[in-house]
Amino acid sequence: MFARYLRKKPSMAFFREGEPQKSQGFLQLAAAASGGRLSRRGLLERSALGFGWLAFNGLLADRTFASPVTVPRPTLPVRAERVVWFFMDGGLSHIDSFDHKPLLEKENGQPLKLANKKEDITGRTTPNVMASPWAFRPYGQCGKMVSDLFPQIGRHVDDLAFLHAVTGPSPDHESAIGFLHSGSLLQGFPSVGAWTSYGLGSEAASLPGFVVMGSNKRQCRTNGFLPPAFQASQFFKSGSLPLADLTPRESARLQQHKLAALAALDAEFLAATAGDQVIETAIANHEKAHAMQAAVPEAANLSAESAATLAAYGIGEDRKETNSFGRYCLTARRLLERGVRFIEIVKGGWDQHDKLATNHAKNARAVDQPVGAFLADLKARGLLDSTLVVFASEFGRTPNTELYGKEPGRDHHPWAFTIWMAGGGVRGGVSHGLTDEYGYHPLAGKVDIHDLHATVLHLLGIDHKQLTYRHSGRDFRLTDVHGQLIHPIIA
Amino acid sequence: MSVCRLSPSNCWLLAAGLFAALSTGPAVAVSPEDLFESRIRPLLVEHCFECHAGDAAEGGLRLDSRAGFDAGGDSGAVIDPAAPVASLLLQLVRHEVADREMPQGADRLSDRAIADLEHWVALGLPGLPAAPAAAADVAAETWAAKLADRRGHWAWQPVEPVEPPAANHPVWSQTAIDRFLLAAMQQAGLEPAGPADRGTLLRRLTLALTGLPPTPAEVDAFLADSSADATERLVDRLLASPAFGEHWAGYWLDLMRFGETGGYVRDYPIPEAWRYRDYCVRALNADVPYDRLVAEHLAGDLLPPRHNPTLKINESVLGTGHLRLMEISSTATDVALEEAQMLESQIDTLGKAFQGLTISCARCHDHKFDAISQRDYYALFGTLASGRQTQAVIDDEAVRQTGVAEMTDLKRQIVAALTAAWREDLAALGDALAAELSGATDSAPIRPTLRTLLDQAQASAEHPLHAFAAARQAARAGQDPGAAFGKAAEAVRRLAADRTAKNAAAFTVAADFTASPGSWHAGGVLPDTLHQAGSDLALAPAGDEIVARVIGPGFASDRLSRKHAASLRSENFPLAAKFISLRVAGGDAAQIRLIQHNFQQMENVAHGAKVRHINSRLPTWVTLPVGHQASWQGGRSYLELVTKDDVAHFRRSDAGSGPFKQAVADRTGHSWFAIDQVVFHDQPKPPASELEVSLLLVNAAAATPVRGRGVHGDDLARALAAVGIAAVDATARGTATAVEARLLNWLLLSGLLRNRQADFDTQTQLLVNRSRQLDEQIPRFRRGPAMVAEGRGFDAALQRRGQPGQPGDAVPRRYLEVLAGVRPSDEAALDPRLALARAIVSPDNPLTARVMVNRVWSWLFGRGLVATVDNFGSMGEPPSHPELLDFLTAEFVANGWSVKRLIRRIVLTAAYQASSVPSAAAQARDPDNRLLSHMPIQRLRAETLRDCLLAVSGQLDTAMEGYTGPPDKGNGGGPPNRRRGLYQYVKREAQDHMMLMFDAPEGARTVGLRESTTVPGQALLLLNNAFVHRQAAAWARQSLSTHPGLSRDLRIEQFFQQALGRSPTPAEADTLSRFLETQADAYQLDAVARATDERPWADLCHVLFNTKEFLHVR
Repeated sequence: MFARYLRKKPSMAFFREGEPQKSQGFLQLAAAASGGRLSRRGLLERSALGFGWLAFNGLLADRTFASPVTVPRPTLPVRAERVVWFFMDGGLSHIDSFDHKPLLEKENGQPLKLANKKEDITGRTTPNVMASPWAFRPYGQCGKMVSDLFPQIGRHVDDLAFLHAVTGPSPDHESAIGFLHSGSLLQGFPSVGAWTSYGLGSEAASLPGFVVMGSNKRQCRTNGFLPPAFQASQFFKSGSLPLADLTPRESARLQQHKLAALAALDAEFLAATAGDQVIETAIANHEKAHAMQAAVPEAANLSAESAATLAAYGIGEDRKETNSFGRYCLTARRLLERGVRFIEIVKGGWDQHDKLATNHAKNARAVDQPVGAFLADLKARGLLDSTLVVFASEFGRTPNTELYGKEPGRDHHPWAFTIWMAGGGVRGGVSHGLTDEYGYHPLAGKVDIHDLHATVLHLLGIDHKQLTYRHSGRDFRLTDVHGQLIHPIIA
Repeated sequence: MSVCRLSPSNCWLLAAGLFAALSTGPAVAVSPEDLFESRIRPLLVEHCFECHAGDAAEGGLRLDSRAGFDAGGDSGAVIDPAAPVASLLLQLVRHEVADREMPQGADRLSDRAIADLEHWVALGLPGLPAAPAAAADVAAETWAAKLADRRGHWAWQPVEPVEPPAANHPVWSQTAIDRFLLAAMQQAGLEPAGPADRGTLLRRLTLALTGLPPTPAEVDAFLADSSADATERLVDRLLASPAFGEHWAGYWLDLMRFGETGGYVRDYPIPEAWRYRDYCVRALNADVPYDRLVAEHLAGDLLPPRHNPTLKINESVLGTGHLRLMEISSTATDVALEEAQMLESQIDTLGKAFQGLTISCARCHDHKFDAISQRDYYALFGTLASGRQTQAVIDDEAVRQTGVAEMTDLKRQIVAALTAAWREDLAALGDALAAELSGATDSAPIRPTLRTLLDQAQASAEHPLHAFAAARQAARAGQDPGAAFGKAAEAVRRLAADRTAKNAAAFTVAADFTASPGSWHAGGVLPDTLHQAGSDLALAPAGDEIVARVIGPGFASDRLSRKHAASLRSENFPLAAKFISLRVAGGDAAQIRLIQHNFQQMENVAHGAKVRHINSRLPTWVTLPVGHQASWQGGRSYLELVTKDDVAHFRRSDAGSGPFKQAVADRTGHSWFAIDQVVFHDQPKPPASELEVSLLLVNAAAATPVRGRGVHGDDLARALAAVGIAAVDATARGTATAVEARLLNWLLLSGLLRNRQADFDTQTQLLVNRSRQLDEQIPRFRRGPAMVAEGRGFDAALQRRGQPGQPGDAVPRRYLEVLAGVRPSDEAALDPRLALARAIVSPDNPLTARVMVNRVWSWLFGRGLVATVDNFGSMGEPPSHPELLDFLTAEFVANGWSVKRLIRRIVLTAAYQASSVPSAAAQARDPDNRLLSHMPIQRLRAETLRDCLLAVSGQLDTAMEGYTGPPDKGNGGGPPNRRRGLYQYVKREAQDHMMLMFDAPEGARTVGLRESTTVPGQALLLLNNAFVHRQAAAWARQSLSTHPGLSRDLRIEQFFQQALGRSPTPAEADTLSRFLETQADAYQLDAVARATDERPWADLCHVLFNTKEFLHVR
């Protein structure tokens, strides 16, 4: 199995079906080996994604293929090709946003009349109902009631599917955030974005397949026990540079000289190792890195966007409230267009134990317009049909008041809360699941995070029971031993 | 489902329709007779019996007999004979009833299983045993059968001594290892590769054993050494190098999911986690026998100490530090769940690292594949959860005793001087009081002080002198002081009796230490001295006052010095009261902590009530309002008192801001506490004073002899003085009671007893100063994160489905049934954790040595003989060379579990020293090189890459061990840390970018063998990262300044040698030479500058850092 060096015929394996084959230079070739490297054996051992995958494994004989990241063979019909996952970190109140409960207003200040009320979490809640500070009004054809926190998102309700009876296992932020992302309360398990990258790879030759913006929380980006190639790249982690170590510290010419000398030395070494695959892959990796130096800044460069687009997303130095989240959303659209598989955008600060009215309003102002513009933009570009959008928080908030500071707030509420989805394969204008009149307990259509994960993978064309990774002798799944498809919201 | 426009009632209808559609299943193709045995019984055992069998069945429903089915559960009948398919049981398993889906918390049964059930119910439950006893037996039988079957797996079998095969090969017949490997190769028709060239071998060995590259001088020396044992001597030199332990500790820390913070959003430090890291370095360098090392990890606190004479510490206890390295949520409110996760991490690590077993898979159910039951899991749970997480003092006894003997002696002399003076003071007080009580109003010595006190006492019934004040007032008014005293004394007695009765009704005494330490457990520097039934005297460490206080009976940590750190822990108790009050004294950020379910990271507001700083010179009640949350009630709890540095986890208020910030920030080691009573209560206020001091005084005075018509003032005064003098005498003897101690403390603080240095003679002052000097010389004691056995511990309840809220039976603490049986025999007297350690390091345990031998092999060859290094279970891979594995294992144990000898044995083989170039046959027939016909090429570990960059450029700081602190902060903003990668601070939420990029694990779970990935971020880092550029520039600068006259070719040669341990080929030299020209042109350098300008050379160094040869070992 001597590897050939440098010149090689491209394999069809790098292209999605139906995509025209482009001319392949060395750089593109190297780039196609995007992301990570597992030995063929390792991949065979570990990815047990059914027959489609096994059939494809025959193509692994081609030595340029060096990465599971480019495994492009879903086994189910593909309803969505990529995911944008909005995460409202801290606990967005479901009953102040999308789960309208008129009874709260009626019984404002009176004790909750619930026989099976759960124990309060912090010990600071009162038994008394707090009306939502926001009015709700109907939107769209379906007449969905949405609060005044989210008027722009409200305009899109006919494209959204609401899950109103989501339940979680933990009332604590950290384990609930972990659960929302990995389906496990424990640390060390891969996030849904990492699983998606592992399962579908990236179409972006010179961009990371999985990107997180707006947070550096490990639960959002972690690859867990999956190889590090599947960890999210954190965009805009510090300053304006999208990715670490992206900018050369020298002129392009000086770097080119270095790369040329390096290529010569590496070629000698590769020959000396009789074409060892490890070395060959490492050489190709340098080429990909070189390509990324240009591709990533290009993708993240918003100056190519029109003034109207920037304004629609709320971007501008004078638009303090929306500027940063708007930039994330617009960057996300540009990354999607370039084939990035999974993008998570985080807005933190929703943990309103007090000052609910003030701070939920502030947070919503930062998010509402950019998300609304993002949905409209995707739709206008015909991308929404093939993009799955998820808008989630780790839990909701209690209907009863918490008195912690001077202004009232609400406590954590994992027993029933709302997540919405939109885009590829999702039925629009649908509300699935029902909570009681306080939004406290699920009455029907209860789903949990495993169900959400199963459904997300399903829409991406992956059977969640088949997407496994062998780790310490066990096949792990994103959905563990759980996960039921949420059929009513699947179009 | 519902669509928005539908009303809720319509939703219900729609939902019901959907459910109805689900309930039709396929026909069942077995006879009614077979149906139960073949389909239903297994289904019931697997899915139902966990909760619905036996006497404690959930919801009162037993499904283990006909009677159980017929009786139904708390919510009525489960079977409807009239309409079987509509039976509640079937509705629940079909998930037709919201919130009551069965099996609870698990997947819906398969359609086929539901159809079977429906069919079976429709048939009238054929085959079900009538009597209810069978079920538990069925379940037990099921496990016993599984266990019997599964224990046949190869890994459970004893290690068999094996004779190596004979071999006829010029190179590969020298060692037993080679003969095993060769035999397998020849069987496959393969021949081994030839030996690696000596330069390659030197680089391979040096990097593998020390994680550092060979220096050019070492290359020269080795290449020039043609003696037969040159390689052997090289290996011995490398194994003896301190760098060996630094490199190999890295592998070990991966197993132990090492990190220095608790992770999650707050990511607080695990105090002094670095001491565990350094312990590993020292243990590997000292070649501590592996069985001892493992035993220390599990029960180092219970083993005889392993002294480190250089550091003067007990190393053993540091081994338990790995039980403290799990991540801990600081905002958890569900502490039982948090404990379950913490234990999962401990058991997972223990199972994988020491045994190659995935024991934690049995948390929610019996292991799906291996001979590990859920009961095994909870037997381990109780074993580990019984320990207390702490910062254990690691100093040797000699260090702990620093100054103790001399200070004790000095204190005896000081006490003698003080008590002598106090007797005089009390006599004078008697005189003064007599004068006061006779109505005199002059101002002789101490009279103004006394008079002020009496003035205060007059207004307060609680004042110790209240009755005396009444006597004085009567005397001043010309009335009978004795009668007034008697009347007031009676009022005091009534008040006291009332208080006593009320206290008795409202408070439950949970602990009283005045007579004995009870079941509480003392730890710290001098644990044996912590409790005294008698009294003691605490000297102030500084200031004008000599005595800090008189210590009554009970626990106190400051008997000799406030530096004598201590801890005190109660037994576990189920929390049943709303409030806990403790009578304590203490200061300098000592803490009272109510620990529930071993949850130490009490940062969340929900736990604020469970922690109190103690800040009181004299005993006072401190109340923990712990009962506002119902879920705390009934939880397994213990109370601990700890001095500042003994807190196992920091809170934000400790580490950041707040009144105790300074106390924590100062590293003097001062912190102390004392305690004599604990009470439980349901009303917020602590016990009211029962006026013991007042009673002592009035009762003594009332007992004075009656002369003539009554009691005179001087009788009362004399009585008071006599009580005081008796208390002083008792103090001198160390036998004062709690009340006497309180009396003297009151007198001291009131200024009625001498306590200022200036009030004593020079001799006494000298004694005090000497004692204080000695106090200053007591070191700040060293601690490490640890687990210690304290108290009786407990057997943990099995958690059904892994849910802490669903407890089952308690499981006695023990090790795995398959290895150690279920009944502890002669080990019964041991602490269960020590018994666990013994079971794991027992020579009869086939896994411990095998797993380690395989690890060492994998760290050297990049792959284990068992490829799944952390899983020897049935889902792991079988060994590629089982005889070789057992041969090495037997030899490892016979050689005293010496890791260094094992490494030496392996690297001195033809296999390890073979070339990395495979033969064509090997590439064709064994592409994964499982037969090891050649040496695999391996990429450097992240730390090794960093170390190589620093070492080659001459920038490496080789300092060993010690605290390094968070990046860019640990050095007080000084120059960046240039120490080895091992010493980079591991902040879990902000790990070093370079480490993560090159596959260093996150420290979340055990990693036996790192992935070796190739991702663009690595290349970007090597191309553009400032750290890499800095080292390249420093390297070039150093060369140009050290050897300014060197020719270009020689300099290229030198750089090449330093980076890669070899000379460049002519083609490589030519490439680099031309590269230098190109760069010089680009920089537009003239002829002179070309010789001196650093930039082209730094570029050349940077290119060398980027070569694949630099990054890999052949």
